[in-house]
Amino acid sequence: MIKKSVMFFMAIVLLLGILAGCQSSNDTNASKKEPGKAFNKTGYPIVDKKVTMTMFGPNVGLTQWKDMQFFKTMEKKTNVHFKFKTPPSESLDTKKNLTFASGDLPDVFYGASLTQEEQVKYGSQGILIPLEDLIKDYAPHIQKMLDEHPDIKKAITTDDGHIYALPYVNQALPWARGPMWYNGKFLKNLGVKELPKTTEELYDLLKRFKTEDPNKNGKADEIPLTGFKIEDIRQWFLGAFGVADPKVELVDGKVKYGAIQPGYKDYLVYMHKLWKEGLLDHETFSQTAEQKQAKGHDNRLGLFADWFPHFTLGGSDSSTKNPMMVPVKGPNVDKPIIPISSGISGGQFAITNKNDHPAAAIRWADYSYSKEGSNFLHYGKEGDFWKWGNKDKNIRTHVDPPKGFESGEEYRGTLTPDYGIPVPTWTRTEDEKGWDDPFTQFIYKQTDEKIRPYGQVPFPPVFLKKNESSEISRISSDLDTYWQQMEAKFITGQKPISDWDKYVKTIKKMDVDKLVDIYSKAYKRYQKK
Amino acid sequence: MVVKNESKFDQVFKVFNYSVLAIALIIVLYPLIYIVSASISDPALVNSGKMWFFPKGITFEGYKRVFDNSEIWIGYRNTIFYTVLGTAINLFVTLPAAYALSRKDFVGRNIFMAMFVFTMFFSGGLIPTYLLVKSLGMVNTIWAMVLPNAAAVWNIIICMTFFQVTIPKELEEAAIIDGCSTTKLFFKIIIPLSAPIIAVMALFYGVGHWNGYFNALIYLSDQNLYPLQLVLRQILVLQEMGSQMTGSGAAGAAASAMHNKAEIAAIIKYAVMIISTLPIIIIYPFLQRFFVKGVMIGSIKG
Amino acid sequence: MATEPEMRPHVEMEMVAVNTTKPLKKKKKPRNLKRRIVQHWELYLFILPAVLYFVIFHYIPMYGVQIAFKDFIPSLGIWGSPWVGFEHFTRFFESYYFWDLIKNTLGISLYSLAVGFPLPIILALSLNEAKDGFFKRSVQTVTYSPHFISVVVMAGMVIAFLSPTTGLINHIIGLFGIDPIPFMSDPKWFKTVYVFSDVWQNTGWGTIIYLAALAGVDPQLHEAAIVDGASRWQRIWHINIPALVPTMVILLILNTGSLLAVGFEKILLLQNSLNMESSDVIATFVYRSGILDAQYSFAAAVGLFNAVINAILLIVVNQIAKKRGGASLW
Repeated sequence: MIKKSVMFFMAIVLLLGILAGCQSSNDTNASKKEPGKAFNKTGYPIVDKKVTMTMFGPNVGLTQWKDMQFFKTMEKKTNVHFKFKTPPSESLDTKKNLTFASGDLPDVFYGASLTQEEQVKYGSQGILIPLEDLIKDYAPHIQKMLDEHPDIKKAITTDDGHIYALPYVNQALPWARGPMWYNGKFLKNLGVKELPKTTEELYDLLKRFKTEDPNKNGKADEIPLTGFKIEDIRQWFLGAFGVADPKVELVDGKVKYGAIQPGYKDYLVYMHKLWKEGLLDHETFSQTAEQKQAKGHDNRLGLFADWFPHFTLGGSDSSTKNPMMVPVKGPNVDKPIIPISSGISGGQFAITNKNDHPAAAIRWADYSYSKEGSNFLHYGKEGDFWKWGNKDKNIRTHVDPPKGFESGEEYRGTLTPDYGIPVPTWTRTEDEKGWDDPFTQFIYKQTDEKIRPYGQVPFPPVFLKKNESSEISRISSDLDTYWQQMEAKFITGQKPISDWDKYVKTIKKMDVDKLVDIYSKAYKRYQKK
Repeated sequence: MVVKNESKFDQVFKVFNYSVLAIALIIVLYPLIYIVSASISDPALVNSGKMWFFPKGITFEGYKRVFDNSEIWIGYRNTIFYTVLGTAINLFVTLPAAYALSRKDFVGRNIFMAMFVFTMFFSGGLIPTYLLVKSLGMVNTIWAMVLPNAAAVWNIIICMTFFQVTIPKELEEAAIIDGCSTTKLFFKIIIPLSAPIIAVMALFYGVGHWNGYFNALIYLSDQNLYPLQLVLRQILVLQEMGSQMTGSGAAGAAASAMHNKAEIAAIIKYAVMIISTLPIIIIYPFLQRFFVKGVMIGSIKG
Repeated sequence: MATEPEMRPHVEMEMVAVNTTKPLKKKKKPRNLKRRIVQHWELYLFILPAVLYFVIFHYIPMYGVQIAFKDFIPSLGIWGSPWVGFEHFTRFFESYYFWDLIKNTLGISLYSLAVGFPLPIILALSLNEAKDGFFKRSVQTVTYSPHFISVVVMAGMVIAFLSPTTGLINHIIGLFGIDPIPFMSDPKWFKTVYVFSDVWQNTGWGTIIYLAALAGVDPQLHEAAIVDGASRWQRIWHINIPALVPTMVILLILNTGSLLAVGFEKILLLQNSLNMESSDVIATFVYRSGILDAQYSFAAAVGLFNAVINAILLIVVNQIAKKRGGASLW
């Protein structure tokens, strides 16, 4: 009976499958379409007669894109009208994958963070069109950026020499993630004059945080060091032992796998010591971001990571009393490493083969790479969100938001898509620094002193070939699970550090050499570009 | 004597039974109170564990924020519409099919059953389904919200079991001998007899529509069609991102933006949940009267 | 103690109807068959909407199953992508964590089933014994409500309540002089945390179907039993529970058919690198290594593997149920 019905279904399935298979395949047009007759190569509007395109991008939930000042103004200026497809940003990946997979493509992807893999994959399939010729012909500002900054060009050019997507470039703050900050009150109460410079000095200070009641509440409730998961604080401590990244890293021109380096072992030993003595929060691995924040608001934290210190500690937005941690150095290294971001985030603007006006699209995007356009995208027009404090010195000041908005930032989020997502633009560092408030100045000063001298991009943005990236994803899905689990176990002492050799052996068994080999090859190709 | 003993036993049993229910009530009630209290408390106090029962640092900011958002109301309207329409379609598909399957004398019953059960395990996946819905012209229409999930095998089976168990076979046989058609039997006798299961099905399907957001995410791009759950997800979007940003080269302004967003989300998280689920919680006591003993017999006589 | 309550004839018949769902006649003669098809033509009309629905929305897209054996390339479409045979399956089977994943997935499923399956039945029986009124309605509504708490909030609450320093549970445990238990960072505790938070959230919801089944019990059965001097407990045991058995069996069959289908969202939110060894399940593994990189083919292959195992389990359990003469799917 069952057999019979199963057979029956197989037959139905097959039949229906065949019927459904008669779908038309995608047409892969020549990558470069003729610009329309009414297209202007320079000046505005870009097209004399209005053209309509569809745009795909993530919505962060403050307002709909069609209501944003930026898009409205751009439409008036350029005569390019957009229809928006903007899924909530948390579901961006789901919808983006579906968009590609179903062939139901928009004309342009905006701020959709196409990964390098996606750029290569969909670029080589002809779904995304190559932009380099369009840039040369129609996009002087982008061309200027690429000419002036070969590193940007290298970062966005695939191995076959094509550029499939434009980047978000903002090199003002090179932070790879939120830096480490000290609680200024703790330091003051303990009379700390000079911040620790070595791991030993840091250990001593953390010990004092724990034992000397720096929050003066008479209770030993201080938590010297905490993190929301270990990756929150890992990098600053890894760097102390000369490791830039637990995964693949480039140290002294050589590709290495961080989690099996001797420096990584030193890091585990040190962190275990902090854990054992209660200096590292025992909830580090299990707490939520809110719980960590709550501890900061209660003034119980001594050292922690966050984008800005007041995010964790609460209090005034502009407090400059909480200093950034000075990178510390372990016994076996000459100089600590702080992993930094290149400030280039690729994949933010791409044109698909469905687009009938690629030249108009690239010109539309080009404006955001000019100084004027980048400022307009980033800050909106004068008077809405800011006004000139001192125009000659390029200093801006904030203006109060209109009624109904909590903060200027929130208001800004309704004016422009450049809020919480990376967008295709080239933000000028001097503009980012050009705010009159002391906090901005404080942040840049701390960064210049404590991060830039030690900063290193752990690994350049190399492009992988298709079979390479599937191999990498096969290897790393097990490998990452393994070393992360073991890291937690070593630090908490569930596994003794004497198991290190066994650990390295297991990692080798998981094909780590192959992974390093693939990245080495990719790096060589990258150098040749 | 026997009777007396037993009634004592019954009394002990009754006490025991009520204690069990009371314990269940307390275990579940506490976290619910916690959520209600949290929705009107200062999020900092909630997160630090200082608010553990009564609200602390009372603020109605969360509710204010939610109600200020006009999209919430559009979402509400859409959700109610999808739920009512969707559930009606679900019942229309499920009840007759379940009844047909419950009849042992229905030739081909096992084949249909196997055909339905097969889809519980094997599916073509997201992409072909999306392409199908697209080729039917339903993308970005209300139909994409109600037709791709017009029935659930699980519910059909439960409904079928209920028919098998509770509909006396003699009743069907008698009706057939009387020359009553199957359709008439179904509408005049089966449906009135099945108030409890219809209520259950309406609830199961209705809740599914109410909580559903995935179809909306996949098939809708017009934000004016978004159901409540998708609107709420948008509001809560950046909650966890603030502290997890990596390497995107985001500048200070963007970081602040995310942080603000996370703070807002912390305030409204609980309020959002209460506002979005209150209607389906309120509706439940009204459905409970269908689960009362004797409802079937009453409907036969009536 | 009192003996079995004597039943009246018509009552007994009802009980038989409750207990057996076996078809009375098994042999079919072709001529008879044809007549029966014609006689019940309306039943085909009844099932038509459902059949149409499943054919259109489930069987037509079914061709997508093949991407499990292909290297799916969007621009080539599902039909045009090249075949790779069992490559994706091999990758899954050869994963370092394959057996851990199976072990954890089954562990969590079976644990959930063992704890989560009987509780709604007990609660439903218990509610059924309570007098209708405010108390009963309150218990019913309150236990039903947690079902609607979103996974994110639920996970946040679990982590907060179980925190070794600020969590309520550890405060209570502390009153008894027990040291705080690191629930979230000790792999031993993960499955318990997962299962019991689920029980807490869904037991009340699970009672609904049983309450409906109990509403279908003929009150005359109880009246007769009372006349015959049966205690409450006896009436539950001999009338209410048998009335629930078919529903229980069907739900059990359906549940075994989803043993490998542990959802990933809640686990992902409760997971951390310390409890990973007992919390990583097939779904979270696929999520990590597949969905985010748009590895549709790999995800499809693992999904197909799950489906085959689940289908086999369901068929086996269904056959067992059928042999024992209880309710079954076919």
